[in-house]
Amino acid sequence: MVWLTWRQHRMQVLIAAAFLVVLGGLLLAHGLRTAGLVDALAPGSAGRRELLGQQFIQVSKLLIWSVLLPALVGLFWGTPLVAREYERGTQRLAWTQSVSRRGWLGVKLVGLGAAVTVAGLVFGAIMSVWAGGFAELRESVGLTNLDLFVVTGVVPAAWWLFAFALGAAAGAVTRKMLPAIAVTLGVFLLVYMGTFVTDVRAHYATPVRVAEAAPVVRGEPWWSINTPPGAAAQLPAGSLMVASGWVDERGAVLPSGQTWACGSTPDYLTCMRDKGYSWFAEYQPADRYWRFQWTEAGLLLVAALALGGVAWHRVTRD
Amino acid sequence: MVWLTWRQHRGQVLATVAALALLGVLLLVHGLGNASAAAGVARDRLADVLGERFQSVYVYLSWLPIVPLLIGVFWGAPVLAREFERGTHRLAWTQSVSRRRWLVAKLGWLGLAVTLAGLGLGLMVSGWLSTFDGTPFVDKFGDSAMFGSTGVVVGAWWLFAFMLGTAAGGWLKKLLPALAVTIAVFVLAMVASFQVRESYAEPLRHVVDSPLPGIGTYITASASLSPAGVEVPGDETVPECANEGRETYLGCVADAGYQSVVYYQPADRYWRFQWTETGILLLATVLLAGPVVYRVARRPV
Repeated sequence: MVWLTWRQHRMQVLIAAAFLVVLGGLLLAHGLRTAGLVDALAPGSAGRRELLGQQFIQVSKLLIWSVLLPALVGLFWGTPLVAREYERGTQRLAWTQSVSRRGWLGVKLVGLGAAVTVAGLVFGAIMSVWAGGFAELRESVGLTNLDLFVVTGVVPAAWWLFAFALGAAAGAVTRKMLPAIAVTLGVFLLVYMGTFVTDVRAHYATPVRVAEAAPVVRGEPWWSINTPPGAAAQLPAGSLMVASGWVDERGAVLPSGQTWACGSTPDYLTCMRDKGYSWFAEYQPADRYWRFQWTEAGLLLVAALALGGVAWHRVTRD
Repeated sequence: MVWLTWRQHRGQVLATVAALALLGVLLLVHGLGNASAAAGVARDRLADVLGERFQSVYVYLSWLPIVPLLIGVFWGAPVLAREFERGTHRLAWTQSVSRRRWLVAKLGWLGLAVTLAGLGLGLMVSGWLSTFDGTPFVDKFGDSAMFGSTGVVVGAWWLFAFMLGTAAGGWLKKLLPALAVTIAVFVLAMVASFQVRESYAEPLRHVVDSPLPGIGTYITASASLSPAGVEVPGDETVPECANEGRETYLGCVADAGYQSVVYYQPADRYWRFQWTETGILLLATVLLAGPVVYRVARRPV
């Protein structure tokens, strides 16, 4: 069975391996080049930050495409698992052998699931090592950059496994390739984009709340020289801003319309303070990075197991 | 052949029409909301009123450039790959309709449908954007997502993606490999287009001592101009201020007498750029279609 799984899915495995090798090579070259370029510049200088930021952006602007990777895993690893057998009629051959249907599906799901998870972990490791070289920049540290959060550590492996299980379940339910692909892509995109749109990661734990008399700003990106006037302090580096605003003396949050009461006065902060308003901010500190990683991985693992169960049930019940 | 094309691809057609109709209704409702929210508001306050409304929809519309990929996957690849994989090409191409006519009819009708759908999407997005007239965040020219989803180039992208999928299916004859190639080539083409787009014409240069001409210009690069006339590109640090900290950098640059320079494409070049990119995509489409038709028409059944 193991040999059969390899033989039927070796193209997927080989292409994934080739992709990881190429990606690792490219990022290694990029990281080494960056290290070489910034070596000569003094730490903390504008020139060094400029260069680091520039190099960082070269790769991070492509992070938006990272949504494709789990989607492709679901498409190419997950959907053909069952749907291709049904569509070609080969299930009549595959499931009438000495290996039971459960054995067939079990080995395939576990074997390919393990392979997908390992590939995802390698990908996460590559991205983590690359991002580690940019630790000086605020936006690559900790939780600030959610695009980077999703491709580093253990989370990508969880997404890849989830997408694989989704593809397998879609294929088992629809029994045709194109509808299975449509369902896989549609559901995956909804879930993936949904986590960004609803900002669910900001709520994996109760945020830390700070109250200040003046606006506390998140550390500004390297290219932004302008800090707001009168900003009293900055959030710890690498933290994820959850919410912020003005509160009155009783602690009720001001709706955005009323915060402009002092709008055009030059002493905006003194005016707000005189009215008794104070600033609050809720954030997730950077040291929660791994806690959040495991939270997200755990949730996705549960979902993947559920979807695997759906595929199992549909295939073995007939 | 028309009926056959419809019958074999009605799932894709219906799904696309339904999706576009849904999007159209949503944009229409949102646009009408914009119009009523903006009624009677002074021009300089328009941005405040409409800003949040724009952001809440734009965050989804910025994904529109990737929709042609779905066209390539669902419309393009199955046309030939599905026939080959199931062996039904032996039935389809031994009828009274010649193989070339079968292929031309399918590609023609489906290509036309895809192009019209893309142009329809472009009209809907343009219409929605026009409800934000007068605000600075409508950047039909400079924003890659908006440029690629309005005007004529959106139809060209849909047609290109469709033909790419068809060509991949015709060459590889299996659905999954065809999908892989389609996705890979499309992503590369899209990334390349984002880089190349600003070079379709020579940008104009403007030293920022007066306001930039008009809304809707597409800023392609910026630089700093030293008093001696030496230009330092925007992504490099000015030599006099290389060791300044983040907060003091701009002050140092100003003290050294540097002026800002921007390179831009004026707004009236929008259509010229649209047609340039459309032309490139149409050329690519023809280059993809030709060999496919030739190879499929010659292949022994």
